[in-house]
Amino acid sequence: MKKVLLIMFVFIVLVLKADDKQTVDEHLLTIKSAQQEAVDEGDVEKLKEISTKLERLSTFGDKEWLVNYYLALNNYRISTILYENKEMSAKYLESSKEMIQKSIEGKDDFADSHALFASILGMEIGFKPELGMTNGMKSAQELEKAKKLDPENPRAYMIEGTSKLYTPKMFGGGVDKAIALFEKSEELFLQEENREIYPDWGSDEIYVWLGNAYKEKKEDSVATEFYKKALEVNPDCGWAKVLLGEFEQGKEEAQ
Amino acid sequence: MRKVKINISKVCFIFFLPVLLPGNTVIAGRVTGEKKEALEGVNVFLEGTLDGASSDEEGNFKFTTKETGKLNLLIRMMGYKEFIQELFLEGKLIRIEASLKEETIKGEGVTVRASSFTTGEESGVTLTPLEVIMTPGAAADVCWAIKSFPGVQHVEEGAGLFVRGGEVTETKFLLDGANVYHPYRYESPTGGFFGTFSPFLLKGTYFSSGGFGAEYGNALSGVLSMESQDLPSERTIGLGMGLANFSVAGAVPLGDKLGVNFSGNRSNTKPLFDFNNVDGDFTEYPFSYDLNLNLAWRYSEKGRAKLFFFREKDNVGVSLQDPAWVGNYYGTENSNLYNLKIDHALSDNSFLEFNVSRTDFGKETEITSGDEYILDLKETDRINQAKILLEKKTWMFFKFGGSLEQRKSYFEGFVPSEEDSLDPSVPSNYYDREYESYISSVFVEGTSFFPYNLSLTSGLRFDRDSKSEKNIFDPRFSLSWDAADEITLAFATGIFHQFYEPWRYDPDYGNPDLEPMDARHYIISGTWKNDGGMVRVEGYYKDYEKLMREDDSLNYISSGFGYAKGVDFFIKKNFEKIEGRIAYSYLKSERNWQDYSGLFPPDFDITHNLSAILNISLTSSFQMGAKYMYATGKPFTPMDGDFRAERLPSYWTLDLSASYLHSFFTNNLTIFYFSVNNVTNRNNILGYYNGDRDEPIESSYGRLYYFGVSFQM
Repeated sequence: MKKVLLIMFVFIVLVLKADDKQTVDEHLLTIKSAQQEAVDEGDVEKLKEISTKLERLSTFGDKEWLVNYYLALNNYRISTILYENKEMSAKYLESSKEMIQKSIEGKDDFADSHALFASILGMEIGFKPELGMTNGMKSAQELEKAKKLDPENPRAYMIEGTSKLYTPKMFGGGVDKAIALFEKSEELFLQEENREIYPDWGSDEIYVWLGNAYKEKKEDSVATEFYKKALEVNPDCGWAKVLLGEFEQGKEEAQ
Repeated sequence: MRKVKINISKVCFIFFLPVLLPGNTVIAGRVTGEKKEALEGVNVFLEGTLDGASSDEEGNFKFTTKETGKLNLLIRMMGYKEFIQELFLEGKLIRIEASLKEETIKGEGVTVRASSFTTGEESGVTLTPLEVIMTPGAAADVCWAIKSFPGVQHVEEGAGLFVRGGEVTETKFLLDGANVYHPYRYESPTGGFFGTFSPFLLKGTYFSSGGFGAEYGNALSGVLSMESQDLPSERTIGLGMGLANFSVAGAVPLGDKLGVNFSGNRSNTKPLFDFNNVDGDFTEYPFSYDLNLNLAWRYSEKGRAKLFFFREKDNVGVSLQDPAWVGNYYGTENSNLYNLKIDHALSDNSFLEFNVSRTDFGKETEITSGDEYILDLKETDRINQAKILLEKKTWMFFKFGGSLEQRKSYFEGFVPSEEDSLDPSVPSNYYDREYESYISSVFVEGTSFFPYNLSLTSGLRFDRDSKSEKNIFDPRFSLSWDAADEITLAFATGIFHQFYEPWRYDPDYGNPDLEPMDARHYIISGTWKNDGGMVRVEGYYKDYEKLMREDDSLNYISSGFGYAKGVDFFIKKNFEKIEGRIAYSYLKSERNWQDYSGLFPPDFDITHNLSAILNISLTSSFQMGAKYMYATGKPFTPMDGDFRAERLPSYWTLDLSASYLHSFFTNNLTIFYFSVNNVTNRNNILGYYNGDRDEPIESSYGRLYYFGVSFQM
């Protein structure tokens, strides 16, 4: 009897302890899906809560660089959603930049960190045009690093594509170059396996970007198809829903 | 059996330890910013756990934790420095009051120029307006405070800014964009005793000791640009009373778009000198008053207008005791400045600045010996000015501007026929002249940003004055490189011109063919800066040409030349309760000008100049400061020696100050202050009559006590 009691106690205690002390990996898994959900919903408050949790997680002394990566990504997401509110958006972008630099300091051979850094540098030009030349060059260097570290990383090609999409042709950008990169990225997304705690976002977004590129080319029907494709991959993809909605509205108004 | 029993209880004890022992600890408190404002959404948590809370609208937070023992509480908020406090958790309530400090903004895309210091609200601040007031021995005077910066030589006991081997007139003053031609009170050939504008009228100050941009013209050495207070956000009133002054200042918002700042100051030095038993040989103690009215109006989301009015009047009488003769000096000055400034945002990234200003200055000087007038001169100076500046910030920062200035000066009276001689035996000339001159200027400047954190500012300036009828082109360049996170290297060079006062072109007393003075600057600088302090080292070389020389037949000619070279060193460090800064300048300067017959060191060739300041906050309301200042003695010509061959004894003083802050009721701030200048009662020598070491001119200021109170609500 006493043995049974002892086993029970030990079991209870272990369960309690386990519940109390999830590992960083376990937390990251939960956070990853919560983050995707908040992005789909465009919910800034939820994203802010996630930042708070990640900040705390970064003090656990385990995989700090990866926690900082997610913190950077999270603040980057907030910054893009708040883009119209220049002041707040710039503040979150600044913090995102700081975090990704910290992450790279902790581990500098992780392709996704360099890809995200490239994207942050590109977005920063929107707030500070005078940084155009400097950040443009730095961003390209970061993308090269990312691709060298992981030639199969779909996000690196997707980010490179977005950069080309917004760079005028005379400076080496253009829609066609962007589409080629998006297509390469799509191919890699299809091959990407379950990455567990590591980042794997973007398999829906890549279709939105393809849609945006064709919209730029005035090929609206192709664009719509890609937005729908994004919703096939992720039925909750808020961004695709909004863009499709705009199309529908545009059609109605035209009629 | 017995064995097992023991084991069970032991095992149970060990396993239950974390569950049974702790009661939950509650951690609650409030987070505020530096100005005690509540901070919302701040992340408060225990290091290495998820236990924590976010602060609410009032900055309050509360959470419970099962953790026990020693743990760090972390408080984090974007844009603020992290707050860390070690806690001992033992199941009791812990209350925390945290005040977060704002982080200095990094990488604002602002270029670091060689040789410039800013005070006020801009980032990269080296001296705040409060620090001007807290600078020991600076008598709450902007110029005196600037004198504790590197590159400014101590030449006289006064406010005159002699910058890097340049004469006092080579530093240009601006207020809200308007040129200030009479920046000193109690004007003298070496500047004046105080600056005209009190720091209380100002929001911020920009000071450059060389290599400044194309925006600033008609200055060979330095620029001091001041900006007045903005639209007040709340109603305040303050009274100040000290041994030598009485002042009232206030701010009244009239709705949220209009507001008034006003101040009045009356300064009578008699009680100060009586209290300290300073003789000072005054026949009339220095007396001055000033009035200021500053109307600020935000006329739309895009723009604001500021109407600034300032009036100042001062007078002083001193008995002059040259071994050869005895006399009296009396001087009175008054100055009125009106300035309208408009700042308007044309778009998100382009701004327009426009100002029109008028200065009316009047001065009367008398020097008498017995009943005889040696000098009796009335002087008026009227300056009208309009200026426009356009700024555009795209991938390049672009500035374009122009100004037009009219100056009318009038002199009437008797002046000794030999310049610089006050000997009663020298005959006087009657003088009655009016001069009118126009200066028109245009400038353009662009800053571009390159990879590897390089930025280049290039500018070109054009000036023309109607007196010399010369067209002047000044190209200027400044290169800055953020070599590492906290290290910036900069290089600046350019051509700088300065026109003479209009009367120097007088065909009878001057020379209409004088050419504008010319200086070329070469500056190299390294700055290391982080949150706790900064270190800056600068080396410079200045090449002077077309300086004025005296000439027997033409009065003056433009064939003078000279150079100044040196190294400036500045270090500033903040500790928790101590703030210290040291400025050291090494200078070597020689000129062939005025009546020199070759290259010789001028008065302002001060080889070593050191100023060390320490401010200590003993408690949150009690502060003490100390300043030590050392300057090599000025060169002089000994009675029986070679021209400018020797130097005066070195000049040094030690000043102490203390202030105590107290709040008698809500929103009240009362500051009691006390200072002792020249604590050691050092007898500084300012010169020798006729170069005779037995006839020293001693400083009137021995140990000097000052105290007062300032009351604000």
